[in-house]
Amino acid sequence: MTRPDPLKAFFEAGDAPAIDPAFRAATMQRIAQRRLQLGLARAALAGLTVFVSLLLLRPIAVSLALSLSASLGEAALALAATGLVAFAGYYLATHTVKWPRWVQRLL
Amino acid sequence: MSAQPTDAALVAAARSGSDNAFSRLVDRHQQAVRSFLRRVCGHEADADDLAQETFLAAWTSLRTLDKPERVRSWLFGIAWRRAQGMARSMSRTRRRETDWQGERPEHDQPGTELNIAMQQALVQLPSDQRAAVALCLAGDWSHADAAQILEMPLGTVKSHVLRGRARLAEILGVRDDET
Repeated sequence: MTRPDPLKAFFEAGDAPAIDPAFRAATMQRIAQRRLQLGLARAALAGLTVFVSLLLLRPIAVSLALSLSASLGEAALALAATGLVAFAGYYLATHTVKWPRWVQRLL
Repeated sequence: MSAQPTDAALVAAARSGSDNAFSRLVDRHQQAVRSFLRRVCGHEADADDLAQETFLAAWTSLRTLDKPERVRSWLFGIAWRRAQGMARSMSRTRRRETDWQGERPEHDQPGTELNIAMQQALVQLPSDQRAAVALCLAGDWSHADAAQILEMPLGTVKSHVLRGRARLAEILGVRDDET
């Protein structure tokens, strides 16, 4: 028969409670905040992608619009193409690109 | 009567985006993680804040967990590294989210004589020794598991536990035949 450990009672006195809904709620709230931060970071990245795409396409769109100045329809076509490319960039950034794990952690 | 899901099943569900599964993991392991951190930190509010950070870090990097069935030792590893980081930066601004503590159950309020005596004794041990004692004597972890969690050689852990036990018995005035 083994004798009880004399230190055990001291240790057990300092144990956290077995069930603590307040701790769980506070932890899950922090996780919800982190999820929101991640969502905002992803949205910001997508916005940046769209902005850069538009910036890069601007000279092309402007030259197209000038060379086809007489035709409003063709300018509208160029703008539509720009929008399409921007949308494609947004889609790539948010749906298809698998970022490396360290980038995902940053996001 | 329904069987409790295993840790591995809860980890798999949490990886799929289930908050409910993750909150069950929190429920299942919070007592062990918080008790360990309270003994290592010596301050309950800091320890509980660190425990929340531990679960938050676990949620963020859940996909990097190789062995879901060993989630508890993985959580302890995160908790230990966080505790070391906090100890290194004690001079940083102390910002705690303590509002939730007003909702804690009454039996969790600090203050029994035994608890106070143990906390005062533990803070007299070096942090590595305290962690080894907290795992192997208070937490019933094996020396090998503790060595893995603390990232220390097995012999070092055994030595820490032996010396820590003797020192605690001496400080607390407990007769200890095992030392």
